[in-house]
Amino acid sequence: MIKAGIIRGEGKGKVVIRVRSTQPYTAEITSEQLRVLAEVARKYGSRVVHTTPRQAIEIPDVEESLVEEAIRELEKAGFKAGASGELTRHTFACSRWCLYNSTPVAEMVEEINEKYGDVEMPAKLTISFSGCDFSCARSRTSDIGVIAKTRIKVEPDRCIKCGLCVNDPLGCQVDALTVSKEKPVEWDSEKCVGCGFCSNICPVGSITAQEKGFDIYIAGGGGMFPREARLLKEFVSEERVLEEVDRIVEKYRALAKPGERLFSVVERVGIEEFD
Amino acid sequence: MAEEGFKLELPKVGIIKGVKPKDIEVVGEKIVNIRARAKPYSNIYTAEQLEKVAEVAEKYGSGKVHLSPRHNLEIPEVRNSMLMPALQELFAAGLQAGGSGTSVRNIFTCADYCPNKVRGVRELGAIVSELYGDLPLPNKFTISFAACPSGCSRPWNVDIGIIGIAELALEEEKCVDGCTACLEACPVEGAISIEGGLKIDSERCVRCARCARACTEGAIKVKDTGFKVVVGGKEGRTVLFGEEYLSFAKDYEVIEAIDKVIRQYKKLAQKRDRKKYERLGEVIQRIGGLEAFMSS
Repeated sequence: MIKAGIIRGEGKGKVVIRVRSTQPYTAEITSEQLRVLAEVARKYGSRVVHTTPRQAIEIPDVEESLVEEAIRELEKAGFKAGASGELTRHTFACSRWCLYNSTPVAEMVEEINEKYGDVEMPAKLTISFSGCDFSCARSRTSDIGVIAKTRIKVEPDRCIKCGLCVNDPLGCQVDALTVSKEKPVEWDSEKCVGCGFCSNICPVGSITAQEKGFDIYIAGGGGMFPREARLLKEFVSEERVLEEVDRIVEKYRALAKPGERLFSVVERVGIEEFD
Repeated sequence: MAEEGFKLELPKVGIIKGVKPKDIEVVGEKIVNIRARAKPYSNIYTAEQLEKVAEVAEKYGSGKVHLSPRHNLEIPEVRNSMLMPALQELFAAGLQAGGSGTSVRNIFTCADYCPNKVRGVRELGAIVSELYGDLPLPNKFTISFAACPSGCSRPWNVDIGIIGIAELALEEEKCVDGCTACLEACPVEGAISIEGGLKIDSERCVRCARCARACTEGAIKVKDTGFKVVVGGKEGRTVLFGEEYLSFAKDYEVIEAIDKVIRQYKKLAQKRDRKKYERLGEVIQRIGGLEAFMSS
């Protein structure tokens, strides 16, 4: 009996199915999958599909007796029912087609989803991955938020004073760089947020991306009592991010009372417990 | 004036240029991403619309579609030369590009087939979308509606959040001994007490009306519904939470509030850095609070 991803709906005997895509990954669906969604919505629902703020897809108005059948059809197309009740939510990821060419997170997200997609937790748990500090995937209001950071190296003697790193719309967004016709590029590391956009823009390698790291935030939340997440670890290496997420999840499971969200646990025991 | 026939104009927002192709090979041409969304506004897509998106993604793109957090189905990697035919096909299916740049983004509403809803938000969302959708502003501007205080659509982290709430009426004499249905339904600890008489702590109560739906005796009833309007939230690099502007607004007052906030924002926003203007919440912070902002 499938339980995950079946939500109470409007009308007697009707439920809502909530699914996520697994191929290619959560944030993406293929044209074939769209057709399957359309067909399932037509056959079992009321011909409509709702997209949620966490990249889930909902098919409302499905007869309770037909739910399993509908979910099986969706599963065949690479959808997975889940993200309801006290389960981990879909790991939220920013777009692979980022205009700014931010750090790709899709592979990590797929790995996390493999492991923690729709796993039972003390309460709902949201994990979000963003490829840069601008945090389109809302990493700073999720239970666990991961934000990619790029360390850059600035070599003013290679600068040709073209000004692209500053003036290009896809260049520096926070005034951390200055350059003029007379003076080569200057970098204000205090203002820099480590997005790495400038290193994508610089045509002569005066600004280059060095190593990548990931900041890990915990204890944020949306909903009724929203709160901002707190920075737990800075610049964790790519190999260790998944380990860190594991560790936080295990800690949460061990410390939480039934129904307690991660932010309440952190408030009760202190963020140090998760360090 | 000479009459001209209908011609689809290139939308000002919703077409994202300068993206590097990832899944297809493109020689001698640029690609764009189309942020498609239903227009007139809707938070649901019909089966036919999904099939149209699938077709366009296959025909003109890489066959993949990105799900955005604000109801967009983003079709990446569309060849620039094929943009017009792609948009025309989408247009005929009730889909248009939109929801990018420094403008009012897609009006976001929650799924109001949800049993927790206090009042529907789709109709009002549609009106607001009609009035302000894609309106150019100093910076990105997000408006979200939630049908109950649970706030799945994240109304506290957007420029203007509109949250459905209930005014409750108690008839204590109808409350029966031994029943705890309202207590179990209440999401906030200590908001309802039944010992020594049914009471609601108005400080703690979030006015979601779950107690009223759980009460079978009619001791708690929904007297009226309205909206709480919160202003100045945002997400991203810095997080801000909205400040309460109206505590119990009627539909028309919601529209008036949005209009007033947008007017003040246009008037008061300044450059934040070389590239962008301040977001609404940043203006409010600089000016020293919502009250000062609204009366500046």
